[in-house]
Amino acid sequence: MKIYLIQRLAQMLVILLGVLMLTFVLSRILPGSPVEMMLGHRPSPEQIEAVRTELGLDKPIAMQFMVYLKGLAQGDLGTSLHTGQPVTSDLFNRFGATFELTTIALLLVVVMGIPLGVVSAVRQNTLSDHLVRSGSIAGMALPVFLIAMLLQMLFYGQLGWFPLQGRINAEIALDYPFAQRTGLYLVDTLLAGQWPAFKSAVLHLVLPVFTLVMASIAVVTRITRNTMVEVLQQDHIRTLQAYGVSRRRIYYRYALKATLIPLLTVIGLAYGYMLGGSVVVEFIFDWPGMGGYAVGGITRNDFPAVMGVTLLLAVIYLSMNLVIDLLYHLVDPRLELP
Amino acid sequence: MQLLAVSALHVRLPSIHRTVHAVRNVSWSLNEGEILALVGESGCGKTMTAMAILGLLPDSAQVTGHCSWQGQQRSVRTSGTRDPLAAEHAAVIFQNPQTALNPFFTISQQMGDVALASGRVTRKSLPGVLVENLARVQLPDPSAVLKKYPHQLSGGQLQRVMIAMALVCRPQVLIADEPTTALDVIVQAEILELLRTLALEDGLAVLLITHDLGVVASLCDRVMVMYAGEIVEQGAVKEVLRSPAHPYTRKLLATVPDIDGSRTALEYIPGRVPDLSQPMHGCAFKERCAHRHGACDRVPIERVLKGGQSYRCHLNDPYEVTQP
Repeated sequence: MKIYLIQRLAQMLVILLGVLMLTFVLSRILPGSPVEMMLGHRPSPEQIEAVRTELGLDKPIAMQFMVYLKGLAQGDLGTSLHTGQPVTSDLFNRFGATFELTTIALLLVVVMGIPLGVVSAVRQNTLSDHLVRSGSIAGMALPVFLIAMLLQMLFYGQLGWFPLQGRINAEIALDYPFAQRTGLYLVDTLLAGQWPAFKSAVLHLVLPVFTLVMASIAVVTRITRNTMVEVLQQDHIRTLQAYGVSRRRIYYRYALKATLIPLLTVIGLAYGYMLGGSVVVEFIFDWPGMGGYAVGGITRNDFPAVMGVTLLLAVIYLSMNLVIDLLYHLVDPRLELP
Repeated sequence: MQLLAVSALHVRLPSIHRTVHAVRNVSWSLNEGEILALVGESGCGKTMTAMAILGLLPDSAQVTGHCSWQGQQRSVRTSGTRDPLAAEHAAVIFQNPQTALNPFFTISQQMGDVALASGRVTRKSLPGVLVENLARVQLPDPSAVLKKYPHQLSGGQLQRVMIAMALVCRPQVLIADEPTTALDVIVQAEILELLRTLALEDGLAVLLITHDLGVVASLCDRVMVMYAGEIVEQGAVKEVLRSPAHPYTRKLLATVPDIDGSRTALEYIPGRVPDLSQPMHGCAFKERCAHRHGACDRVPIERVLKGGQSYRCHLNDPYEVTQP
C-alpha cells in the first residue's frame, strides 16, 4: 500500500512537470506577449526592452522555466501581471469560490442522480423511467448558458426567489462581516455566526449550482440505470430474490454496490468536467471563481496566472483520479492492493 | 409422507409475436427423504417447472395449476412474486455457484440476510446458526469461511455454501437446479454425496434437475423424463432406466455412450424438438418416433405399469416393440 502510494505520487509529479513544461513553452512561443498589454499604446523599443528584462523574458526559454521551477519549489507561483498580487493569493481567493460551487453541485449530482438511476432501472420502461431518462438527456442537450439564462429569467426575473448573480449580497456582507478563513462562504459565515450572511450565501449558490447539476446529472443517472439493469439480471440477484430478501435491500445494498465501479469512474470525470467547465457558469453568474481568472489571464497574456490555474487544475484532477482508484479497492474485494 | 404434490401445471411465456407453451399439464409429487430426478434435454421445461412452483418466473409468465404443500392446497401464482407458502417449505440452489453469490459481499453478509429474510432465525442467534449450517455441509473451519468473499472460495466450496444457505431456512424440500453442471467430476461426486446424506439423515426431499443420466442412476430414487414441456415417463429409477417404456426415454438412454461398448458413432435422436409456440396435435414426440402410427395424432393417455412406472404413449405394450 505504502509503495503503491509512493509510486502513484511519483507518477503524478512526472505528469505535472510535463503539463507545466507544455503550458510554459506554449505560452512563450505563441504570438502576443504581456509586454504590449502592460505598456499600452505605442511604446518605444527601449521601454519594451526594459520591461522584457524586468520580467526575465529576454533569457532563453529553458532558463526562464528553471527560474519558474525554482520559485515553485519555494511555493512562489510568481506575481500576476494583471492584478499585481502574488498568484498564490489570487488562486486562494478564487479557488474557494469555484470549489464551493462545484463540490456542492457534485454532491447533489450524486445524491439525486443515483437514486433517480435506480428508480429508472427498477421500473424499466414505465412512465417514471421515461421521465427520468428524457429529463436528464434534456439537461445534457441544452447548452449550459441557455439553462443558466432560463433559470435566471424564471427565478430572478419572474419569481424573484433568488438573486441574479454574485456570491453574496454586498450590503449584507458589510452589515454582518466575517473573516475569510477557508475561502468557502458557507463555512466562513457559519464560523463567524453571521446567519443573515450565511442565508445570503446559500441563496446566491442555488441558481449556479442548479445549472451545473442539470448539465451533468445525466451522465450519473444513465450509468446508474444501465449498469443496474445489467446487474439485476445476474444470478446473485436471483438468489436473493429466491430467498425473499426485500426488494429495497436487494436494490440499494446488493445491486447498487455492484454498479459502483463504473459509477465512480463517471463521478470522477464529472468532477473534472465541472471544475474546468464551470467557466461559463461563473461568467453568467458573475461568480468570482477560477474560471473568470483563467479567462482573464489568457486574454491578457498573464503568463504566471495561466500557469498557476493550469497547475492547480492538474493537481486537483490527478488527486481526484488517485482517490477514485483507491475507492475501487475499497469497493471491490477482488482487487488486491499491489 | 407426501410433502409436495403438483397438478396440472401450465407455464406460458407470451411475447409480442407468439406465446411459448413451456410447460404443459405437468403433475408430479415428492415424498419425504426422497431424491426425485427431473431429466430432459435443454429447453424442455425442467427449470421452468421448478421455478413456477416457487413463484420465481418473470412477471410476464402466465402460470396455472395447483400445488399442495403437506396437504395445504394452493393455486400457483401467476405473477413473479414469490409464494410465501412455497418459501416456507422449499429452498433452491442453482447451477453455477460462482455467479450465484454477489462478489462484493462476504458469505456471512449474504447468508445472514437470507437467514433473517426466512424469519426462522433471530438476529441474536444468527452467528451460531450460520456456523452450524456450514459445518453441516462439511465445510472445514466455518467461521473462517463466513468472513470470506466468494472469489476466495472454490466452486465446490461455494456450492456447499449455497446448500448451507438453503438449510438455514430449514426447508423440507430442496430444489437443486443442475447443481453440479459447473463443477468438475470429483467435486460433483462430493456434492451429490452430501445431498444423499441430507436426504437419508434429515429426511430432506430433493428435486434434482439434471441431464446427467449417470447421476440419476447412482443417486436418485425416482425419475421423471420431460420432453417438450410434458412429462412423458416417470417411475422408480431402477425400472425406468432398466426397462424404459416411452420411445423417447429409450432413445435418450441409447445416447449415453457405453464404456465397454464398441467405438461406433454416437447415438442421437433424429429430427428436432417441436416448436413450443405452435399448437400441439397429439403426441409431442411423434415427429421423431420410430413407432409412429395413426393413433399418434390423438393426445396419448397416461398408462401405468406394474410398480407404478407410468408413460404417455399410444403403444399398448412397450415391450412388444423390439428395441431399435
